Amino acid sequence: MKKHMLVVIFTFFASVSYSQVMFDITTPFKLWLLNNEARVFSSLNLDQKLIWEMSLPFSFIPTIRTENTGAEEELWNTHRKYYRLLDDIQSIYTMTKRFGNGRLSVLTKQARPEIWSVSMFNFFMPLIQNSTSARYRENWHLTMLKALRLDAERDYNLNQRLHNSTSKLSSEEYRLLNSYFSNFSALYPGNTKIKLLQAFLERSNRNSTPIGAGIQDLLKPTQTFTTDDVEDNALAELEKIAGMGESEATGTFEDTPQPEDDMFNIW
Amino acid sequence: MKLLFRSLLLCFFISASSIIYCAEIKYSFKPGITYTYKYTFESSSSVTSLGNVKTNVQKPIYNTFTIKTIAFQDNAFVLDIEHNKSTYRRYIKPNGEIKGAVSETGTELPVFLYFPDTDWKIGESHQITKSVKIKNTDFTTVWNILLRSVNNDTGLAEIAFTATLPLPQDQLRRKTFSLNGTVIFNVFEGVVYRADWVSKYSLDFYNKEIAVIRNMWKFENELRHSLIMENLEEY
Repeated sequence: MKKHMLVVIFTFFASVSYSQVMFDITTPFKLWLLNNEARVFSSLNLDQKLIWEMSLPFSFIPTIRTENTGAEEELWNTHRKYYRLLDDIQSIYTMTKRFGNGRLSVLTKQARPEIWSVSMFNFFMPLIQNSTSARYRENWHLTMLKALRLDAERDYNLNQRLHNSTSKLSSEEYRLLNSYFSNFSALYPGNTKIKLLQAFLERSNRNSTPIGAGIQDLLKPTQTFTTDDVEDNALAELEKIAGMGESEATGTFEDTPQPEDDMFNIW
Repeated sequence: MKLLFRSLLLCFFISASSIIYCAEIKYSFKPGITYTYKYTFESSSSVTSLGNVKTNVQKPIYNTFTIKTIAFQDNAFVLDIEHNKSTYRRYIKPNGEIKGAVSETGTELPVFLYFPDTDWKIGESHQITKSVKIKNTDFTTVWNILLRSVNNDTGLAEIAFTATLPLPQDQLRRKTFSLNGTVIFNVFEGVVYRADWVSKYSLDFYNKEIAVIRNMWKFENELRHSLIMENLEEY
């Protein structure tokens, strides 16, 4: 029994991380930006050490080390905001890809666990079924959301969540991020994920079709259900804008900096 | 005619007496004397990122330190330098070269400039070269010093100095560095009266496409240092 439980748990977590890798749209850009930062950090650090060697020309001056925080700190702070935003975008995108079609919502409704769990009471305590099943269902639903790392309050309106994330950037920071995207696109023209990222950012600035329609039903389910998939038109539209084919939307990225580009060789 | 010649000769000697053409610039810290200096440091920097500019100007940082002359032995001044309730003992040769810093063993000291041992002609420049090892790489640092003028009446000599640093760079990281400064040296007292120097550094970071190199970030940093003697008293 324990072995079976371990297999189930392992499979569940593996599938969660696998789905994150499958729908990854931000990693190539983040790696590119981080790598550029690392190169600059390395240069600035060495140069500052050398400059310090020449900073106090006279032998009678004590070695006074003064804190010299430059404007680059502000740039790194802006980048930190970008990484948080990209994580949010990735989370929204993954969630939409995994649950946006509404299949899981339909499946859980079909399964009716609250009925199966109290079915044994049918024979000798039929009245108890009505009073307990609703609570069973509610608890089961909450546990499932927790296991799927979903938050009903946070994720019910993904458009709003995306808007909240992007509104943390000032207009200057927003423009700079767009310039970075353009730079990245110029360097890796075959990478369509970046176009999807840009489309996400643009979407947050206008009232448009809600993304991840199927998630709303999963988070706050209604008792009526349909067996038809909820088509996530908004996401399909974004992927169309990005020029992503079926294989690209789910597959690995081909035009990201490859190991032979020696991304981590910062010298 | 004779009178005119004599008066011209007198004028020449009078004018020549206030300007000297060479001098011996050497430290002469007096035992029993405490010298107080005020050191000011200012920094400003900017970063340009794809047309977006961020600037940062720091407030000046003031430091005061004192130098107590303990003795002159083995051709070096024994000085106790006090700063922030800490005392460092240094042994400094009359030309400014450091001979020892016992209390700072294990601490990396900057590359100090020093003056020529012989008479220094006005307009003459000297070069001081020293190798610095950072991350197992040797870098050759160079100080260039030039004696601009010496005033015979006040005993103040003006010396200009610059520094050269071979910052490592490549196609994607282009750098510039310059350091310029002036020191007013009191020849009579044998101490630095005032010194100001400014260093400017810039780093251009590029991204490379197949054949095109585009600028991504430009970092600029300017450091201003100022040193002035505030007091000189017996202890």
